[in-house]
Amino acid sequence: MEASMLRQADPFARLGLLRAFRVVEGDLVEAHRAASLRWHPDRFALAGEAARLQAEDEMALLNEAFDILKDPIRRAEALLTLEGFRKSETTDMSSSPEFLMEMMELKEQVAEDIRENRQEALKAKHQEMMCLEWDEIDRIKTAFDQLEAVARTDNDTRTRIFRQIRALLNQINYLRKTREEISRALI
Amino acid sequence: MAYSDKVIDHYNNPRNVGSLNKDSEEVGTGIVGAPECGDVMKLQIQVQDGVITDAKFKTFGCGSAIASSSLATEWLKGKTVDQADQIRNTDIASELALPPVKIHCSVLAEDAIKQAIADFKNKNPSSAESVESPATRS
Repeated sequence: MEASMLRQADPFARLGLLRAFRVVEGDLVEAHRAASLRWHPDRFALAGEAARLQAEDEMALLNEAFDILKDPIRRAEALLTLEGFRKSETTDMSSSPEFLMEMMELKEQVAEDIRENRQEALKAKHQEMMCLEWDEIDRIKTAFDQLEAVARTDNDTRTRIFRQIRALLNQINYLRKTREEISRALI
Repeated sequence: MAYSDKVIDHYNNPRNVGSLNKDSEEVGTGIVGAPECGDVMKLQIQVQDGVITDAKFKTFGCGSAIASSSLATEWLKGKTVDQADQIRNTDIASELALPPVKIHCSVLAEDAIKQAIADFKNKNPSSAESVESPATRS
């Protein structure tokens, strides 16, 4: 799994799609189908061991590329990684202290609700956070649309927009992780 | 993955949990996050005459992140601001015997210390000189 993640350099290229956030679902399904035909196990039934294993690998990578691209957040992460704005594995340099403070307060409330087993409050927060995540995804869509209108040579503007998307994706991640905590506490 | 005894100790009995008044001139606050695991860490120092007299933290995250920040606050107390600036994540990681996948938790703690110091210095632009002033004879 980890090895294949490393080899998945560009899920768009793997499926023969243009690098763009807006992907038409039908195009994605069609691209996956077309690429799968090439590596389908049936075609390698009589081939040697090495060729069969390679085909299996290729199929796994194709399926993974498909899974990445059909999920808007993973798709956005893939685009940002390709553009050199990969998610930091250590300290977050994109989120403002104000946002982190808000997250801190939210996590504090959630921890208290979990301690006191306030199921109704937890459910309400879970719902609220899901809405926040959707809002963030909408903002990400808008930002990618803005990017489309920017000339590829205008690096300053592109960098600014990529940074903005990076911050939005990070925010979604804090919300998701907190929401997962709530889910575990819900009966 | 097994946590070391020291991590478990800090996790079960975190030292210096809490908050200091972030609006105080004597207090420096650092707040950092790790987007990958969703952890958030707040670390505060109280500085009097160039020496850290109190340190508090609040961390929402895994055991290693809690232990890293708890240990950091223990180490910070009694140090001068300059000494505090010398604390490295590798010191924290080796003291807690953090496994490679958890090293980033100690990095988070080091960055929180740096931010807290930067915040304090920002509030007290002359602090760097005032620490040295006792040595300057008129």
